[in-house]
Amino acid sequence: MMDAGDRLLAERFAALADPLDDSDWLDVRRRAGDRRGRTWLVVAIAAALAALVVGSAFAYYADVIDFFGAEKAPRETVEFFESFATGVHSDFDPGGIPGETRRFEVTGLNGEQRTVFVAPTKTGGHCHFWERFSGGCVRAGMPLEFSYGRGLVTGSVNARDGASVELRYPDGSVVEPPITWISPPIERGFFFHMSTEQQAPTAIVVLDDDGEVVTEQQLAVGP
Amino acid sequence: VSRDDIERVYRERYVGFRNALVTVTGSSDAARDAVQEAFARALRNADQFRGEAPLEAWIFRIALRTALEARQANSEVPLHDALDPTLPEPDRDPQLAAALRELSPRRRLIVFLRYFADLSYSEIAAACEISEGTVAASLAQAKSALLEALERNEVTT
Repeated sequence: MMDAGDRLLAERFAALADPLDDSDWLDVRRRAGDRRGRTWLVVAIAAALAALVVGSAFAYYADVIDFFGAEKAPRETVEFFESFATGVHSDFDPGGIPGETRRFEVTGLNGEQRTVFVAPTKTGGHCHFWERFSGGCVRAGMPLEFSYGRGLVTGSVNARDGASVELRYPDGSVVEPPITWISPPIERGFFFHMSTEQQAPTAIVVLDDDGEVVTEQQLAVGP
Repeated sequence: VSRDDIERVYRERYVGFRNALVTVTGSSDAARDAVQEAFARALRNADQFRGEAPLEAWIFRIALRTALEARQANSEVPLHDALDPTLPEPDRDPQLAAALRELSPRRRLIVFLRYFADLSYSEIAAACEISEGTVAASLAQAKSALLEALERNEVTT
């Protein structure tokens, strides 16, 4: 039981304590050298190659991107996100926060980049829109979401579960696209990969730190 | 111990650990770095946790050693001999800072672990490798000394 002296000391120490919560679990995992750490290396190499081609610096991809530090989306994109909730029953409103939409450049395997706009939702999920491709909203904690069309796969993985993604092809080959990790409140990694039209992936597999399968989704792609 | 257990401790204790370590590192950035690195080490070496002490205490010891390594570049120095924790930003409460200076470094550490890291007596005992009874006695004497010094200083100022 706390006496008056205890209370006095507790109050004085509490007044000096820094309340800022700048924790970053993704950074801990990266320092621990999990599979994501190796992913950073892949990304760094891809970024370095891309830098040679286009003369840009991609070094910042070696880190988790701070969501709130990212560039805000333009007005038309915010309005597009607002339209997700327009005219739908409240049960189906994804609860997006369009005013907090941010723009991210995701780097692909060969250093190419695609833009994805991401907004948090009130329930811990997120809404996203890949420029000139597709968009949608995802509930919190979903291990994998993806879209596929015209050879392009875009998607994201829950950072708490997944550390890497594999695209598996009918001929047995596997592609591991780089992942661009975004900090809380999103706490997901975004990826894309363009396959040749002749060979579409048949499965997307999310792996954890230990290389164990977290989830595997089959792609129903016609001939 | 599983990664989820370590993540739970991280999410519950991060701020407290960082604030307690600031008293050792003297800098919030260095304290943050020590906490991050300590949890990364805990993840890498999870199989070394024997469950003989609370997980929080095991990780805090790693964090303390990490902070000292960064400060002294000498991991062989016994923890208690190397410690001289001080209140960060003493100007914000000069009377408390002065009162703390009258305590031994080990008592100061115990006080900081109690009030900044919010560790329980058993967690402090495990973190400092002393008995729970010693923690209770040290805290009681430290609190008494602090309150007496604060009263004395407030009377004279």
